[in-house]
Amino acid sequence: MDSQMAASTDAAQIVLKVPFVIGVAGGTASGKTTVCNMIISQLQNQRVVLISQEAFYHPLTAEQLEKVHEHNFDHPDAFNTELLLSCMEELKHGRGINIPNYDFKLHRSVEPARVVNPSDVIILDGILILHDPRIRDLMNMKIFVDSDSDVRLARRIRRDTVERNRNILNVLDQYSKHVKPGFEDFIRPTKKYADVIIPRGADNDVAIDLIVQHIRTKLGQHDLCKIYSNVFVIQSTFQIRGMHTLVRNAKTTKHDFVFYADRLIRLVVEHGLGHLPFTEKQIITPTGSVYSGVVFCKRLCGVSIIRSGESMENALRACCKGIKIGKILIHGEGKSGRQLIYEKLPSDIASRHVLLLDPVLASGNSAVKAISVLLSKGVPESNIVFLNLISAPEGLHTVCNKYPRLKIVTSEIDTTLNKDLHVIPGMGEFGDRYFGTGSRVTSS
Amino acid sequence: MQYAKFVKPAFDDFVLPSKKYTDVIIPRGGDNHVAIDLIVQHIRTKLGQHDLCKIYPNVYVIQSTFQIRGMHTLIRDKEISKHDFVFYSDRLIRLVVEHGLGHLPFTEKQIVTPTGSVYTGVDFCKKLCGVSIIRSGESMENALRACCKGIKIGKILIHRDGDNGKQLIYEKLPKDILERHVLLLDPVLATGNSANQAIELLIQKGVPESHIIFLNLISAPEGIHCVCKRFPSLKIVTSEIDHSLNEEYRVIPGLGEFGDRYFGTDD
Repeated sequence: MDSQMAASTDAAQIVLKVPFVIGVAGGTASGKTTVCNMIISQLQNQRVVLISQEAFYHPLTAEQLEKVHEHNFDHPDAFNTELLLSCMEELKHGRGINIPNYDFKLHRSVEPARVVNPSDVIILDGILILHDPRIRDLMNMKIFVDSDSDVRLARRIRRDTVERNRNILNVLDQYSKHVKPGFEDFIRPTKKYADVIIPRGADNDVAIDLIVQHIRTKLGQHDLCKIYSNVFVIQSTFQIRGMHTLVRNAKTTKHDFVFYADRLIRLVVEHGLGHLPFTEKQIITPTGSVYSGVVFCKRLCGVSIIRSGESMENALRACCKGIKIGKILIHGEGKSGRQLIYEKLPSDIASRHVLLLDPVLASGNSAVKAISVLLSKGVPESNIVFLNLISAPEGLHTVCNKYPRLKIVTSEIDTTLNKDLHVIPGMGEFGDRYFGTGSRVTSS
Repeated sequence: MQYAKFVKPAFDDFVLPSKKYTDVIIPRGGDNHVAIDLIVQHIRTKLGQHDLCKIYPNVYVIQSTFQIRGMHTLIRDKEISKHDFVFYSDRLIRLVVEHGLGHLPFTEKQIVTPTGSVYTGVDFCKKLCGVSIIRSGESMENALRACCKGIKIGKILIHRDGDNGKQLIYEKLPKDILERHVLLLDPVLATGNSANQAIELLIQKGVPESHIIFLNLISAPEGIHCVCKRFPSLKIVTSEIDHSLNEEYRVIPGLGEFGDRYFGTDD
């Protein structure tokens, strides 16, 4: 039991998405923090965490503290980069961490340490955050905030005197001795590593909006959708994830399993229908106005892969009245070959768009066999839309590599297949659970 | 030769200074895939987004596909049969309801799948109810019931009496409505006056403004302005935003009297 628990925890960590890491660099008081805060506030429904490089300053020794005004805070060596790297490593694996709480008046970290939970987006900000190549390699996006040096100096004076209680002469002295040379020697050269340079700092709404939209899109996109442009995952909402949580749960009753599987299938079918071709049409509404709309493709049919695929027929019929539905039965287990046992398809299928139905795409072997049957009947590859509830990456690779013009619509992409070619985390034997023919009794 | 004489000076004198007017600077030109992807996504998002969604962040239009536009083309057509009108309205309403449910809060939940793996999912909010604005709003109850088994549904009737202030004549709401998230149902948002009255009533009953999701099939810009200005933390989910209202306060291009067409009382 213990070993099973341990294995499950590992799987859970794999399921967690690798966070999207953004680095924000720029000279002192260039508006880095404001830019970060604007990004965070616009990503309100995502889990975002901001980690400042300043938290990783080496604490000053008593000796250094006496000559604090001479200490160079603008040099790469002032930061404990090793600690930052180890913190990032933990976060990447979905583990929470404590980061130092650096006090700018005492120049050392104070208790309590700041707790940082694993997040979908991690923003790293700091003057020299783009300096170390090991940290740069962690970043999905590198931003450099570029503001005029006189604007930055003015802001720096205000911040250090008002917020950090420092003497103006010391601030100016530090600026000319360390801050300015540090900028020229170390910070400005890192600008060349940036993917995007934001001029005018935080006043630049367009740039912030652009970055936020990009992060949103990237977060919502599965890596495989970036590789195969014909793989579409329906937009995930908490409701959809909630339904998945129910259908995937081994303890869900048959009644609830069917109910929520049906709701999810309906959404997949609706999304799949959205990929059919159309022609423009203008109509007159009851108010006498013209509405420019579309007429959708009427030459279509469904083909279900027996048995699980038949669970998707109801949803298809609910959307397309009187639609023709063909059937394909394929036999074969594991890695052995697949055989066509039975097929009954509309005789004019070659002239129709085909919605191929199978709720679980595992190895892709049966799907490839079914698609080859359709092609042999004269259906063009690009006229097939394959609908899944869950898909394993292995199956997507197999099908998309072999049939690059076919479209796949799915509601979630799972982690992997296990050695028995079951989808992990998956939802078990879909057909047995949907049709109530499962013999297995849950042990707990 | 040409470079030294014209290209370089022109760059220094004219091209370089224009850099300060840019919104974003792309280093390394065309090799910078992160930046190019970023800009393409941005343009796509902006093109796909209605202007009103940029003004009011709480207005959500369900992602348009040809299938959705095709359904709109059918239900907006004055020649369509009652049977088809109901069929395609129901399909569209179902999509709006599913989208609306996606805006409810959630809590994280880990479950074990039949393969013995852990799936990190969510447990969705169970304290919710529907409130339909009589009569058109009742057409949305079936789709809501199809998604949420046994959901409580309250009713509000607002009597339309010209444009000199509208009168509320009937309401029947769940007693514990203030603890629930409310899906307010009305397929057509026109002026927004009756919607505002219904929302006002819900707030009087103690429902927090941010707990209300208003579901529409079509919405007029006037109605969106009217509701969103007064209730900025309420969410609106709609399937299309129409052009405007005419002088009789009907949505243009619209779909006519929704209630009459859905319930077959237009003869």
